[in-house]
This record gives sequence, structure tokens and C-alpha cells, in this order.
Amino acid sequence: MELANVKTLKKVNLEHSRALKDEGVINLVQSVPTIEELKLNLTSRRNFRIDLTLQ
Amino acid sequence: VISDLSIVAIAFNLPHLKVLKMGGCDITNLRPIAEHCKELTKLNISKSLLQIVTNWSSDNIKNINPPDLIAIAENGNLTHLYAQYHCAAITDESILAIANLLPNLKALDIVHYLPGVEEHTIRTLLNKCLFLESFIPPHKFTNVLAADLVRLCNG
Repeated sequence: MELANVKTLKKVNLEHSRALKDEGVINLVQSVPTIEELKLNLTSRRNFRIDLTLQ
Repeated sequence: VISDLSIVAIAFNLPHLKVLKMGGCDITNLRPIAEHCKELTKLNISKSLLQIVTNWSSDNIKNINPPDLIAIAENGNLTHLYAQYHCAAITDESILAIANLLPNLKALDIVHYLPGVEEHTIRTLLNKCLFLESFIPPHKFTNVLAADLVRLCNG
């Protein structure tokens, strides 16, 4: 994902990005240092349903 | 999987971070956040109950270190802390630090099943954090608080 044009972004919500990994987070925060609100909640309702399915 | 690698990157790259929600992540080390994100007001590091149950028999249950939680409280800006099922981090010491360092705390969720926190600690918290609007205590206090919360608040 190209993040060069979002240098003023302050809020990022990736709560529904179930495939999110460290690499993605690191790339994001290095590219957008203006972030003041970051949500990476892996226990969101959608992900919780997926967890249950996998058990 | 999101781990402490992300914590380090977040801390070093986002010095003006005010809200961080990382529920369900495998994080243990919040020290970089405490040292670099001095403006943090809302922190959510809750685990899901499912996450705990499915890892119960293994050594995969990761908890943050109690001193790290205290270090974040020492910054003095936190108003919302959600730390469900971080059993090892929710000690008398860390709760008393929160009570003493964060008098403007508005929301605290430290629900978990294990013992380890005494009633007088909860009493101190409620007496110190006068602006608390939302409080979810460890399960062992659910019955106590249902009947005694008003009494505790009134001293």
C-alpha cells in the first residue's frame, strides 16, 4: 500500500483487518508519523467470529 | 499476529499518539510506549476471553509487565485504560499506582478471573479517582461491588 499521500492522517482504524501483522503496522507508522489515534483491535466482533469458526 | 515489534515501531514513530487500541495482540512490553508516547490519554490492550481459554494450558498467555503499566500511569495523562485479562499485570501495586497517579481517570476495565487484588485496593482506587465514570473490576469483586459500591464510594 502506498502511503506517500497521507502525511496528515491523524486517525487510523484497522480493527477489521484480520490479516494485519507486525510488518504492516511498522510500515504504517513509519510512513504516517502524524497518527494520533491508532486502533488495531484483534478482538473486534468480526475477528471474534472468525476465531470461533477456527476452533 | 501483532507483537512487541509493533509496539516499538509505534513508540518511536508516533510521539504525539493520544489513543492506542491493541486488543487481542500478543504484547508484553509497554515500556517504549511509556517512554515515548507521553501524550497518550486512551489505552486499550484488552485480551478476549477466547484468547485466554484457548491458550490456557500452554505458555502462550502473554501479559504486560506490571512496571510498564505503572510507567504509563506516571506520565499522568491517561484517562481511559482497558486491560481485560491481563491478570499478571493487574496487581495491588499497579492499581494503587493508577489510583495515585491518575486522579482524572474516567474509565478503567481490569476484568479478569484470577485472584491477586485485595478489596482495600479497589476501595483506594474508588476514593482517589473521583471522576471515574466507567469501572469494570476483576470478577472476584463483582458480587462485592454490586452491593457495596455505594458504601465504598461514600467511605
